[in-house]
Amino acid sequence: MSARWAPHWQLLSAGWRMSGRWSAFRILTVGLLLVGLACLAGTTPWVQKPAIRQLFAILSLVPLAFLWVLHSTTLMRFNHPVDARLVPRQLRCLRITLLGMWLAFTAAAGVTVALTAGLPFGNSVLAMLLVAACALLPLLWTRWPLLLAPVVLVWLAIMFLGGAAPFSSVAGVLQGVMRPIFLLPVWGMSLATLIAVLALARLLTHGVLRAGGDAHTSRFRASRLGFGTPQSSSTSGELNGVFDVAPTLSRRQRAALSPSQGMSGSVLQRVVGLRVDPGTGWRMLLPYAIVVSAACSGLWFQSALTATLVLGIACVWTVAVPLITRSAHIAQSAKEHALWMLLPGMPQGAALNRAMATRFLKDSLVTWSGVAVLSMAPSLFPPTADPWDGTWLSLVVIGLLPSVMFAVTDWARMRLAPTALPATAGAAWCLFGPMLCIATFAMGAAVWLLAVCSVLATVLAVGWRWRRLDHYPAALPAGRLQ
Amino acid sequence: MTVNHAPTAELRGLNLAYGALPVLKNLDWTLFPGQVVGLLGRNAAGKTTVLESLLGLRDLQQGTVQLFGQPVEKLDDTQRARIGYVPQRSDLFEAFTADQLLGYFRSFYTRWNPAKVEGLLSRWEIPRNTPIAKLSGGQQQRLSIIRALAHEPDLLVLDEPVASLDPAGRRDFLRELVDQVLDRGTTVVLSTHILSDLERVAFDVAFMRDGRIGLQAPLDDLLDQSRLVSGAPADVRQYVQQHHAEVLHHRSLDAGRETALVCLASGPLADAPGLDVAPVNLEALFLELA
Repeated sequence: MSARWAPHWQLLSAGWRMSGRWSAFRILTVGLLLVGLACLAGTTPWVQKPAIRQLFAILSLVPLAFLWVLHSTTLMRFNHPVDARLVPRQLRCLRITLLGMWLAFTAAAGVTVALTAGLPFGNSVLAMLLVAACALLPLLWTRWPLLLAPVVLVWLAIMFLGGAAPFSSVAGVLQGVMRPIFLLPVWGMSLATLIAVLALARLLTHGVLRAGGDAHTSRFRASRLGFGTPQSSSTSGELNGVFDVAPTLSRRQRAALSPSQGMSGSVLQRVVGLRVDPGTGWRMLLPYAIVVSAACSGLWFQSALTATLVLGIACVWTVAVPLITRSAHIAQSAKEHALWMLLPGMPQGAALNRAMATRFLKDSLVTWSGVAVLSMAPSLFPPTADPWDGTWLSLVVIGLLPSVMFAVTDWARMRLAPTALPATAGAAWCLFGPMLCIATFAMGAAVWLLAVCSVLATVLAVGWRWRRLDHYPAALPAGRLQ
Repeated sequence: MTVNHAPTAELRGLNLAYGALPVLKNLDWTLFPGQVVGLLGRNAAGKTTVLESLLGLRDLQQGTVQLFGQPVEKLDDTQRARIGYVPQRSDLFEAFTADQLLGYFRSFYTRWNPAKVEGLLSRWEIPRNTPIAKLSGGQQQRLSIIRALAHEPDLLVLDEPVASLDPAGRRDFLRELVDQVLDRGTTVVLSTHILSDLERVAFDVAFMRDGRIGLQAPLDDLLDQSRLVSGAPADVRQYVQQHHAEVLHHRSLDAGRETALVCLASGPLADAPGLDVAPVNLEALFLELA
């Protein structure tokens, strides 16, 4: 490896190398690749039904997108504010490496979409541009979390008020602007594409990755701790434990920890609610409800198949994200766990294990139930003129149920990382479970049978893990026995 | 130590506040090549802030910082490669092993001393293939020091680097530091509260007070020439005038007495009648000046 490329290689392989030999990161990467390849195999002409072929083709994008998010966010962790300022070439190398990954992902995903849909060249280029822009979204939301709100608002406005006069005139203006672009000759279209790619690339390299300074430091520390930190905090770090981060808590969070709250609700519930699992499942249900509403409104999706695909992906996402963020929150709060154990009223030993498992299981079941209920809505209000068949979406929901078993786990032996086993295994199940259901259904199994099997499997798995809880060491501090 | 007159670092008119709380107030500071400066100040005096501002890690609210003749916010890669920094708390990528971390940083530097890295890793008994998260606080700090020394920087900024090291570790580190300075003429800025360490390595000490560098002077000169003079205010003033001494600091005591820390123009003098004149050590200097 030449000196010129060594930093790029180091950055590109950092996530892979840094997590140990048989780490969850590696398992997840390989797993996602295998699932992606399996889905791609499902798109071959050997599979008779075109609908299933298209389904697998689109589903192959999910692991690809997971891979992109996993590796790009890992790369973002190397955007350390001190290194960005003091280590020569580090920031530039980071930018080039992320850019390379983005282009590779865009090409792979764009080609998959274009080939599956059989798009002509011009539309393929546009599809790639769309994929490139979409690939930026998770990074932009990581960088500017508040960006999500206006994007959702604008989208909602277009969805529900698209026909209203002001919006239709805006749409008319936009169409007027876009039409000449579509009528451009090849060289003009190429130039417009190049400009768009360069603008996106600039946003990726200079917007997502920061060059150090107070705001970068503050944000970087917040992302590590899971809390916003004031700009006055030192770069080298004076935050150390719950007492140091206490000034950064919101009024509501302080109130939750205040002794004046008495003992309403157990100490564990309050601490866990505050630091480990602050309503991610509930929050995830809101975007899913919006997607469902959009599907039912019939304004967005042109066909029932598209609606099924989007809802299926949204379903998986809604159930998988809380599983992943829970491990991340536990890892981020690890340095506080010993202090939590000193809090009066904190359960100990097996009681602690059961209390944590109950809390997490309840959250997971609430999220899954919410998804299941919301997924019934398109059957009541069919989204398009196409005959709506809710079977496929039901299969996805059924396949997701066993993922709740990952709420019951041995936290003491968990590796302290966002890619810890409960997260990765849970995320992998969220991909694998629905596909297994769909495949079994395609082979002739009845939906009710699959539902019964899923419930049985979940009850057995949770019951088996629950019985083992008594033999596990105390859950907190998490990761101490890894 | 020969001092080159082109400054390594030059801070001019730095003002910095955290919200309404001013931390740096019109701070000026200059560091020359080969200087080893111990930065002293009480807790929350702004030592870390000034070191971070020196390195460009903080956005300047007012003032300028130049490193190696370039504005710190526009340093080129050549000059960045000349800087080594050990933060107060080692902030390493904890999922890496020591070997992986050093391999990662090595790829960015054209100058890297593998023999030194190997020697220090062995001497300080740092496990190479254990994730950094599993190393003790002291081992992590040592690794952070190795990472800062490995590319043989011309400016080494150390923010309380030995806080989590045992006495043997501190001695090893200080020996390494002295070697670095003697071999390469590195400019070293060291912030620490362990004054005995500072006395071993620092040629100069800078005292931070009220958001600025109150005094910077060679440590040996300060210790040789400073006296703590206590007595009636008139007697103290007379003593200062007689010996052409510079008053570094004075404060009132009870019963109409005052004490003054003075720096004498010439060598040691005999006691003065009616006054307590005592030599000072670094701790006494710290208590008076910081």
